[in-house]
Amino acid sequence: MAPRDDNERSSGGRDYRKAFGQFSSNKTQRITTLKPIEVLFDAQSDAGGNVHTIDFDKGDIIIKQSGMYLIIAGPQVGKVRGATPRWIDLWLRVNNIDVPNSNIRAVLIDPEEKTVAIMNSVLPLNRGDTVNIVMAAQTIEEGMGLEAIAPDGEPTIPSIIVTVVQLD
Amino acid sequence: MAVHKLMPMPILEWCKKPKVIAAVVFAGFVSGTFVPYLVFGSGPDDPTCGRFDYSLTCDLSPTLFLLVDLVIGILLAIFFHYLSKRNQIRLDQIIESQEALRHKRMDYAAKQLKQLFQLTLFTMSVTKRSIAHYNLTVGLTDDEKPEWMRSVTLSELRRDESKLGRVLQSVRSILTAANDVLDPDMVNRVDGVCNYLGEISVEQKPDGTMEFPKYDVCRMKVSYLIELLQTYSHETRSFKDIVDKPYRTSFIDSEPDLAEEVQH
Repeated sequence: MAPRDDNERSSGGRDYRKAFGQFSSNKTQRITTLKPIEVLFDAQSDAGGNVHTIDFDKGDIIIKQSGMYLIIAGPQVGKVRGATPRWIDLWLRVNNIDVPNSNIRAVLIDPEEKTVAIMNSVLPLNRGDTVNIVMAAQTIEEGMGLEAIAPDGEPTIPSIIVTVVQLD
Repeated sequence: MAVHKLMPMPILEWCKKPKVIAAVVFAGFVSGTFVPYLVFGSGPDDPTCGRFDYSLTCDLSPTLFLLVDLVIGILLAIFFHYLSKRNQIRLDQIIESQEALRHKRMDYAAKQLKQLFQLTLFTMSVTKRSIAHYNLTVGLTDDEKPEWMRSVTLSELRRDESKLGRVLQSVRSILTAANDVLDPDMVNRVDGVCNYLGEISVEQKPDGTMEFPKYDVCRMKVSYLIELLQTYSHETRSFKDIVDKPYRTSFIDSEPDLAEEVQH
């Protein structure tokens, strides 16, 4: 018996039974307060045919199908000024509640230094749940945050890319 | 409650009572002391005694003894069967009453949660309307008594906000009361929405106007939950999770040959 293909094909196109989504932001987001702030998104990639199995509204990733989800986020962190090592933390928040063991920290020294800190988590999520990426920094004086870069002759480097995939 | 009083003590528990143990030991002692002497002390039977005769001169014949034992055994079996049956009936009644109570609580919780979330949706709309009223007063000139209007609309806004808080508190109370009958997944979902809404509060923007942050997301979350609560079945006592149809792309976009052609 052939293994079941989760993305079953039919003559009318492709059926997606599992939810997925990739969200990104093409805007630089600097931290201007010492309180944790939500990372905003402004773009959602679709796999073709405008299929969006997960929605988003500014910083909220909205789940439309209950299940177990793998979430991978790659924020591009940087700062504007200062040569002192400063930390920036990023973590997940589900339904406005911080997710334990999802926090990561990047330490920035040089303003020329650009780092992609990888954050990943597996979570059970229900229909209607909202997922946010939240960040906080040690200081607001040095313009720390997520940086979008527009190199010449290349696509824009988003300030964050988040991939959400339903596992079950 | 009357059913609980009628419930007999389980036999094992009854046997553990010291008085019962003492009675059994005493009965064993008495029978062990006297019966063998009576048996061995009985004289030989009269030759005229029949198999079923029993008198001063005729002892119980083994056959009659066996029959009497058999009758006693049958009577005891009937008696114990009666006790066991009565116990079982009582237990069934208790289980049925508990199950009925559980169903009633679940029905009540599902109905009440649905109503409360509909009320939440309504209160959110009213709060948004109050915000709109308040925002109308922000740009008014002094002749139009903006301070008075602002204070009135602000008190309306605070009243609506506190009402929303009370509704959420009621939802949490129902969750606490019915968390043993509701599906844990359902409890988590309701709790998740409560957590989300609980963290939302009306905020003032730098220009002085108010806003309901993430109103659309809140509305969508509550709507999803109401949808789920409406699927509650009184027959199965369960919620039917809403599953969207498979997401389908158009034929042209998913044509693999076309994609390959573009790559070449």
